[in-house]
Formats: sequence, C-alpha cells, structure tokens
Amino acid sequence: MDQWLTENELSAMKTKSLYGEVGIWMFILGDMMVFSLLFCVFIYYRSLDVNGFLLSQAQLNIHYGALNTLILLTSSLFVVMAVESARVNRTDLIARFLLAAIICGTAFLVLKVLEYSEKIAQGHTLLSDDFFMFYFVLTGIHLLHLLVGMLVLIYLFLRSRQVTDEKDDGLLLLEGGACYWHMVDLLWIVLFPLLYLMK
Amino acid sequence: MSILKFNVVVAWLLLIALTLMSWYLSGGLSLEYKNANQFTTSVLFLFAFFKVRLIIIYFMGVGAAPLILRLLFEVWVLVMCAILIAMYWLLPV
Repeated sequence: MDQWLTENELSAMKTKSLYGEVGIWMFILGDMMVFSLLFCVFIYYRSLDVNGFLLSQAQLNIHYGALNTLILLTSSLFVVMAVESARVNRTDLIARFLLAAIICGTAFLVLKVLEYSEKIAQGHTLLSDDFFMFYFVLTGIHLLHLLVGMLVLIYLFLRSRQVTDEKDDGLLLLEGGACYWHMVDLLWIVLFPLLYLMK
Repeated sequence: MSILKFNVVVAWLLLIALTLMSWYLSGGLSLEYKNANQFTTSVLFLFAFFKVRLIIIYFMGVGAAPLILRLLFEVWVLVMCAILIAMYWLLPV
C-alpha cells in the first residue's frame, strides 16, 4: 500500500511540474514556519510596549526598507528569467540573468550594511531596547539567509553551462536554488511592514 | 520577451506597484511623521501577504505544482495573514 501510494505520488509529481527536488520544498516550508513563529513573537512583544516600539521604529529610515524590497523583487525576476532560459536551452542567457540577480543581492547587502552602520552610529544597537533587539535579530537572520542565497546563486552561475546537459541534474539544482532565493525575497516582504511600517 | 511568460511580468509589475503604494501610505513622500492608523497597518499586511502569494504562485511555480504543495502554501498565506492581523488588533495595548 505504501509502495503504491509513493508511486502514485511520484507519478503525480511528474505530471504536475514541480520546481526543484522535493527536499528543497520541505526545507523552504520548515524555514517559513520558523520565521512565522518569529513574526508572532515580535507582534506579541510589541503589544506589551506599543509606544516604546513606535518611538524606536520612528528612528528607522523606511526608504532603505522600500528600496531593498524593490531590489529583491527585481533580483527574483532575474532568477525567474534564468530558470526560463534553462527551460528553453538558452545556456548563454542563464549566466547573464544569474549575474544580474547576484548584482541585485550585492546591492541589498551594501544598503543593509549602510543602514546598520547608520543605526549603530546613532547609538542603536542590539542592546538598546526590545525593538532594536528584534530589528537586528530579524534582519540579521534574514541577511544570513540572503548570504547563503548569494553563495547558491554564485555556484549556479559558475556551473550555468552544464545546466542543459541531459546527464546533469543542473536544471533541478537551478530550480531549487531559485525557489530558495524567492523564499528569501518573500520573507523580506513580510519583514518590511512588520519592522518599518506598522503603526 | 519570449523568455518570460506574460503573467510573470504582470506579477512583477504588481509587486513593484504594491511596494510603492505601501511606501506611499506610510508617508514615504513626506518628510514629517505620518500618523498612519490601525486600518492602514492592516491594509499594509494584506498587501504584503498578497505579494507573498504572487511570488509563491508565479515566481516559485507553485501555481502549477502538485495540489498538496499548493494547498500547504495557500493555507500558510491565509493563516499567517489572519494571525498577524488578529494579534495586532486583539492583543492588549
């Protein structure tokens, strides 16, 4: 029975198109659960000291948050274009689009470093208050995910010529890496209103 | 444009538009502090989770994925959005 179920599921996976390996989806869903918990913890602690959180939040520059959102969304579009290029065997384009996405990721990183240094120069650190503790921890964990994503994109960029080789599972790798990158993007999309915008 | 599907481009344009709208609603244009209210904040959360869903369906390809995966993501988007807005309104101030 188990065998039959597995085969059935496998054939369903084949008729429906699934990007990447099943494992990457487990990882993405698991990671999203962890972030979900962090989002809830943030709103809970915020409710204990709404005014304190609002005062500290007013020190943030929402332009940084908005610009970084636009940058990540654009990088995600480039990653989609890289995957689509691989699907139509345009090996020449894969590397170009991945490079564009890597440049966007670097721009996000640079802006984040600028923002952090600005905050630290103003005297806001991890230990200042609860809001800044959450700000640094949440954006820090997200930044760590972004750095891993950048390494994945660089790896995919370096092996982009092999992607369309039939003996290689490059397309699966590319799709899996792409989905991870999109997850980094969508987590930031929730963090942006949570940390910068909510009143 | 042959590389990109039409709906992916539309999704990206919507994502950019909603981001700019969120920024504007939060006083992005004015230099002074804008007194946004709880209603605006709820709208910003709805925008955010609508954006998250666009990414999941169109960028991650979950729209064409096996039903079980699509359901998991759709439920996550709905439940997370509802929980965050409910906590925001209902927790003691």
